[in-house]
Amino acid sequence: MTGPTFRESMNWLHTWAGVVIGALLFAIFWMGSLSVFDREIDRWMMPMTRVPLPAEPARLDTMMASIGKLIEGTNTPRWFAVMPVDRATVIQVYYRDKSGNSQRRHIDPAAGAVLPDQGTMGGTSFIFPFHFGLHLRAYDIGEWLVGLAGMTMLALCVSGVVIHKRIFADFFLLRIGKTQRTSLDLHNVAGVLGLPFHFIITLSGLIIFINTYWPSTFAISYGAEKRLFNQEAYGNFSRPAAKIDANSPPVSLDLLAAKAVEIWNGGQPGVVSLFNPGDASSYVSMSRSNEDRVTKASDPVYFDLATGAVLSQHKSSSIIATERFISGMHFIQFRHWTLRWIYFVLGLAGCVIIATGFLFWLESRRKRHARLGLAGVRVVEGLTIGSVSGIIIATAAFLVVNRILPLGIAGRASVEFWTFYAVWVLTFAHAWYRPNKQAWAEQCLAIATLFISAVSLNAATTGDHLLRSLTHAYLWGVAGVDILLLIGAGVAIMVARRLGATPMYVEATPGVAREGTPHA
Amino acid sequence: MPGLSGPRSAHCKGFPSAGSGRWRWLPITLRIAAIVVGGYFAAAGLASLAAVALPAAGWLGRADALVLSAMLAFLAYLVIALWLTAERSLVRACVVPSAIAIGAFGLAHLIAPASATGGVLP
Repeated sequence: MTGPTFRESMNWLHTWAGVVIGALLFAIFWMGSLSVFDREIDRWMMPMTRVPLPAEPARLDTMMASIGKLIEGTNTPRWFAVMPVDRATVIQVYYRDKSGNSQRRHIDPAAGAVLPDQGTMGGTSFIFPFHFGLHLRAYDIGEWLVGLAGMTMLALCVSGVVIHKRIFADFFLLRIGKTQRTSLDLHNVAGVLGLPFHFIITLSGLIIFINTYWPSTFAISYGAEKRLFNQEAYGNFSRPAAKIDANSPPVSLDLLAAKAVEIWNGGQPGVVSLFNPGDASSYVSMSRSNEDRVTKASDPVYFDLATGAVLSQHKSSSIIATERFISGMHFIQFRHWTLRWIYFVLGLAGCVIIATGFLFWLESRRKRHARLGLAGVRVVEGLTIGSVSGIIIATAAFLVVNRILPLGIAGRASVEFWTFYAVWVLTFAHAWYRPNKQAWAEQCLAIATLFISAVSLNAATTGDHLLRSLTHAYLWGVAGVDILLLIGAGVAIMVARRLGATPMYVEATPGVAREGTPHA
Repeated sequence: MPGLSGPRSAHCKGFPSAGSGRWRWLPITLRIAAIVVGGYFAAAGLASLAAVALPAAGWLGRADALVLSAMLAFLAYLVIALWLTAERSLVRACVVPSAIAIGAFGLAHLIAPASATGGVLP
């Protein structure tokens, strides 16, 4: 007896790894695509932070005075401030409050005043962390699941190429009409077109988390001296607090920034961190902004806050620089609008590949499972609907509830957070309860309704309707979110109408169903 | 499609080692464990070995060796996992990654002290 050929075993891998991990992978690709515009989503969800970038931004010393008042009475060991860029014109400050919880506040870039708590996690604290950690923080379980999905994606990329017999010919093939064929053709076209991007974006995403995914390698190399690794690789510096109050006034942060700019040959500060605030051994780190380059390397410079002396400065070695460049490709913090849109579109193409893969799996089994009384198709279908249209509905609900809840109510951010999950669970229940076609159509209508509501609510509650946001350059991020929501609503309505108008599943003879398909 | 008749065989096409009878779940479980767990530890072992061997040989600094090995470990895992999927012998698919993992981690532990001292290079 001979075993399966290489291509057959790759086919098996592609089919089953895809079905088992597909739902998780879709969530990661969806949230990753949205994270491309996480700052714009932040502006949309935090109306008070929609401010123009002043020609003359607030001095760092003014900012430091505001932060000093903000952290009064806390024991925060450190605060750090992310400098404004055109995508996020407010200064973002992170610190620990009296109970030791991490807090984020925004500072007006013109006046240096601290804005009230915006009461939302927004794009950067909900959507972006969901993308890499699923908000499951215990034992890093979320990051491990994302890692498993990432490795699976790499295996799917390779096995997909192996089982695809006619890559060039199929490039020009799109048979519209029968779900099974259309989904296979779309799967192939989007898969081949996006392949280099999808492989690299997945691998670079994994590489960002090398110290999570290869703990044994880190342990054997550095043992318990993790701090030493961060020092040797990235130039992290630290020194303990003296436990004595600072007896001299701090040097000017603006002067230190000027020194750092000199060291970086004109690079600008991106993040300013202050350690041991108020203590005699207080020190500052300046990280270089990467708006003008791909790498994530921060080339940190550390200054003593009392004397202004440089304590430490760092430049990456070539291998670390490679790792930082690969990470930077994934993070896209550089300023390049064309590339940003390409990332977004190719990210959504990844979502299309996963969704059509599911549809093809379902359609090639639907009749046989019905004949044999197997539950597979029914179960996978519920899973598919909940994880594809369901997560989109949940995201839309997250935006809508953000525009309904008044600012200042207690626990506002957690209401938004739990709304997302409650709605997502409901979409799964709906998907299993309703027959497949109605479930898809109804969820598409729900998406359209929620997207249009979000746009209307944004106009009603903030006054930044499209006519206004499109005519003010600093509101273009908000306009972009609104426009994408409207396009999304249009697509959802089209799909719903199509599902209502035509029979979705055309009766196909088994022979036709198998024709030219790589999956058995 | 010659040689494939009936729904079960059609759907197990490409399944590397189909079992039968009461224990038919065992080969598939072992196979998946070999791919996911065995492949992971084999890759982690090889990365750990490289992370300590490169500085011990004086070729790279400790941080550089660690980061390079950890980055390449994903590709090693990918190649090993694909091979374990295609490998016809289930016994080999279980034994080889375990042997690689044990051998590589063992060697890495032996070399580790030398790499710690050789970590700081000019």
